[in-house]
Amino acid sequence: MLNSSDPSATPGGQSATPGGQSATPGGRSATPDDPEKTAVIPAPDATAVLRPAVEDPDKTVALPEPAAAEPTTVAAAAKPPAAVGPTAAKPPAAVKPTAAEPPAATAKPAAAEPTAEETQVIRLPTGTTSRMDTSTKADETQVIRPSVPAADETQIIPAPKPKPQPAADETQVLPAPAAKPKPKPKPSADETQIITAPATSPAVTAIIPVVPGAQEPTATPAETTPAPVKDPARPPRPARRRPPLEFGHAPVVLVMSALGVLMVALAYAGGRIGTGNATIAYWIGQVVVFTPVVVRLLSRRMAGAAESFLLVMGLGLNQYLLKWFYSPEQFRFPDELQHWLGTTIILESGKLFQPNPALPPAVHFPGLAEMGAAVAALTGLPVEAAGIVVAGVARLVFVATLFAVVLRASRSPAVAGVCCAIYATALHYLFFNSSYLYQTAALPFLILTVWSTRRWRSGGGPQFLAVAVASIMVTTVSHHVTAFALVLTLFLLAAVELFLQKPRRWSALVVPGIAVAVVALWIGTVATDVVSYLEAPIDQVAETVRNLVAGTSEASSTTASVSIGQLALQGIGLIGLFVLYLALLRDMLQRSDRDPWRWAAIAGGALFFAGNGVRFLGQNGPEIAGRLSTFTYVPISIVAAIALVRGVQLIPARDADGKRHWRAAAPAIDYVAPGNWNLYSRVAAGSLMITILMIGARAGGWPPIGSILPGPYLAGAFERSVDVYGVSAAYWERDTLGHGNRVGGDITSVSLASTYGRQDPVREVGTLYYATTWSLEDEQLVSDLQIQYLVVDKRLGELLPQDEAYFENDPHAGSITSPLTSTQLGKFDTLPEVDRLYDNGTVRVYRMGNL
Amino acid sequence: MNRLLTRAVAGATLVSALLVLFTPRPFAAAGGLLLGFLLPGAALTQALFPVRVLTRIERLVLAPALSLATLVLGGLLLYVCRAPLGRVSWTALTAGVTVLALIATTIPRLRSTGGAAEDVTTTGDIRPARVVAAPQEVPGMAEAHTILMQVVPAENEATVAARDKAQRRKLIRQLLPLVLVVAILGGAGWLSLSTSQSTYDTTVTTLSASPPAPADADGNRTVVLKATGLLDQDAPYKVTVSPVAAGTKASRRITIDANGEWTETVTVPADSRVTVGLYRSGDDSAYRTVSIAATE
Repeated sequence: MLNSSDPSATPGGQSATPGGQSATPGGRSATPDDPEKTAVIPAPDATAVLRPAVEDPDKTVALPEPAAAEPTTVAAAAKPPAAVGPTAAKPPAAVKPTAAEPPAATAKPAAAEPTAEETQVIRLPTGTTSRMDTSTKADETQVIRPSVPAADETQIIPAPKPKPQPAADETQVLPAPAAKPKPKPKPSADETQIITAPATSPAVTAIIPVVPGAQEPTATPAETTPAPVKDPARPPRPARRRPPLEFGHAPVVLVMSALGVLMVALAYAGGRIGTGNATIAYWIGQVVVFTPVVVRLLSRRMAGAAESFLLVMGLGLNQYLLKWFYSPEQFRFPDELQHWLGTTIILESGKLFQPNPALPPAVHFPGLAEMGAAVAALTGLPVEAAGIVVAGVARLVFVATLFAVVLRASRSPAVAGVCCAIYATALHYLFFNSSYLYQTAALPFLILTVWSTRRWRSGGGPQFLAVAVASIMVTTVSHHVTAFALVLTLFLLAAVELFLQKPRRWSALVVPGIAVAVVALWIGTVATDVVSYLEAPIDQVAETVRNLVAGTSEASSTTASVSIGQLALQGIGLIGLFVLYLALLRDMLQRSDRDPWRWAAIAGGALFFAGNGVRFLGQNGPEIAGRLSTFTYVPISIVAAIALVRGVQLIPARDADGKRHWRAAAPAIDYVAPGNWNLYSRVAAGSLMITILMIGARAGGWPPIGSILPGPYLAGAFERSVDVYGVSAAYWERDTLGHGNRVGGDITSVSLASTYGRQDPVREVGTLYYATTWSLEDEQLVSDLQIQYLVVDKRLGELLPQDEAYFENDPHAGSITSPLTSTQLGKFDTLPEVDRLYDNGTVRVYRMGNL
Repeated sequence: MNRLLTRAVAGATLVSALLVLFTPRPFAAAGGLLLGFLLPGAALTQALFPVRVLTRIERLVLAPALSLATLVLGGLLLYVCRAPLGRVSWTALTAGVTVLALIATTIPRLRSTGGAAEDVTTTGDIRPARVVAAPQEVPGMAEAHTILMQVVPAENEATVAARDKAQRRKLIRQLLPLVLVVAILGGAGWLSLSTSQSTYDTTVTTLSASPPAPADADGNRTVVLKATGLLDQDAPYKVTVSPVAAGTKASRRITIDANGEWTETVTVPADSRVTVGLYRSGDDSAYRTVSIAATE
């Protein structure tokens, strides 16, 4: 029986099998292959053990052996009123069926037929689990079930002296009755055997550890203990056979998703040639790419971890292709161009830490550039191609690592898959975080650090600590903000663990301490300029907050205005996340949940909602909020995935009198039987919510809605502002002027000049362009900024800026109502001391050297 | 990692290194991608986690992740050692890490073969004993008198083979739609690439002047004029320079080279503002214009 007060023991939780597989592989029975369903324990003569999937596997609950001698089938519920079994309405009467009752009655009648691979017989002595609690090995401890028909057998030697023990952990073990009948030989039906150890034998308790999702036990060196054999004359077959991969319907779902990619590609092509309905095709394509995968992940009918993983990776690949198809032949986003330059410099010089005028702080965070340079050198591909491959691999590694972390923590492929799908609705997921940026290189290693830390904390060997340290180092040398976020994440996890778990294990602080040391060492000795680099935007936000508190100014933003529809979409999505967050929080509070990882996700989720408030704080607020969400969206995705997959009750069900009891212990995980209307409605609602989140993120993320399709030149539109005219001018600067001249211009001109042109960018030049007549102040500014060349794009006089600004730190940002005039742009030709050295009909380059 | 796989990885490493160092791009790209994204991580994963403590997914994740980590941390190491970061050094780094990890992988196996660490199967094959699912002791449970361990029943080889075959067929059937996925994504990629290139590839006609040289004793200076992106259909082009120094033509019809470019060094007076215009056939006003300011 399942403990309804504990989500780990709920049917919607985990299977009793490693890997989150159901007890009936292949979905042949009413205990289908949905990994979200708890395994039915049909063996009538055995002690049953259920291994929760959603809960922290670190814990194991052993229930005292009952005095009654009846067979036990399923772990007993601790709180009778709670929902047990396949539906929430199941009465708890099926907790301990008598020997005469079919054991499957506790769960699913249709699953009553025991098969060889379903039967779980585990006899653990009481009194052992309290020790297991303190064991760091407990994470991997799991009851073994042959995951493949006739693959393995389990032999159990019961302990003669059970002891009472506290129910401290979450795996529930009910021992077999004392007068248990001998198991009948079942050559093909049930291969589990219980072997009583001799009383004189110095028995050793050992539990084969298994890894969630692996569907296989861990083998240990033979020298520890020889494996027993049923028949000494028969040599044991190595138990190395992995269960077959089961991808379910994932390939078919991915075909649909790929059709969505094709539709978006058509939309992009339409945008480039100016087709009218390209935008409609784009949005339909986005939904087709995304939603079928989400529906399948939520359907609770997946074949297991392999299907969920394939779905998630397919979605990750398809979404990366959406980003790549936007500009497939070259980098256009300014930040990508900056890192293109950093990589090119390494290739040219063969050295790290060479000056990169386009992005000076990136010099001291060479992780991405090293990857790109190495791949370019090894493959002979151009830097653009190598960068696209590196960013794609990093993106896929990030998704896969996130999946592995959540799978490890939840033991649920569906939770892991849905979490990754929800994270795909983060504001910057689609473009920014999969671009060739140093953050893209660092993010996978942030998650990998969390994964390896968890493995180490839960009893993994020192090699996990080694992986954690290596990941910390890679993160640190790859991206500053991600390194800071990693330190905070590790401390959050450690703090929650120390707060919740007794006795406290101060070793939880080891990895965070190492992270602090590595980050501090790097910033203190190598990347000393990063503090000043990050100081400006933080100061700006802080000043805005101070002004707001003092009432001296209003929070404002000069970024592009947001439409009501866009705000509504994002608002609905945020409200949906908030409701799920509150529902899970309420659920955990009522159950006195003490799982540190879930509480850490709750704390991180709170940071997500707090971070959304930053977007209203000043000019950099939206960008900082968006960047922040890259990290805070991970915990909120986990929270939302648990709530959606587990069907956490948003509103308590009515009792017989029609009343709702908000303070009652609601079923923690409301198991919904497959096929009924409740499930369909939940899947539909969940899919709709996640789809709305995705649409809101695409509309409010990057690229901006006005340039969401590629196409002809737009002013002040980043990717859409890069075209052959600007690139041609940049190459002329490089070839004719040499490197390192001080060049000013609009956002795109400066970006191209500093990267393709290899010039030293001067960004604060807006006032020179807005002036209708040349003044002494302008001349002084040229002198102060040591400007040698100015780039003038005639199209600034024809088009309004898409992002509300022509220049970086534009003095008229947010208030530009008309393009620049021909007088403003043409005044440079009237200055007698100024040369016009370059003209391609659209872009002109002026030499200011005589001023 | 069994011996066969170890040898396969070692062989792939050697072949990849040779492809990278001695073959043209298409082959080098294949070898480079393996060395950059797969082989070092796969070998390191096996060296660090020789027993089954990882799931398939975790192994799948660790292979590229540790490969990328090798590039980053190894690149720093090369820099500290003052080795230039180039094709040879990257190849040596990735292949070297892979080989070292493979060696580290074999050491425990060699140790374990000293005793009864191998298991002779019915077919006579020698298999590493570690693959036998031996029970693992849980700390703190030494006094408990329960053993939970796993053994595998002997099976008829024919049954096993038939089942494996059926499973493989099922897997192939399941994965068959992925061929369609690849085709669709390939088509989408081709569409995007072709439309992006065709809309980007526009001939840009430019006229430029190099920064003028200092004035000579005669008060003149030389300027290198260059026009690019000149199209045959707009020919003949004409360039005018005004004013010009003595001996320099004010207007000339220019000859386009095979690249659609024209370059000429002209001498202009230093004390006057000089304007240079490029005219297409039939133009009345300059198509492109540059100007050189007078020196003081």
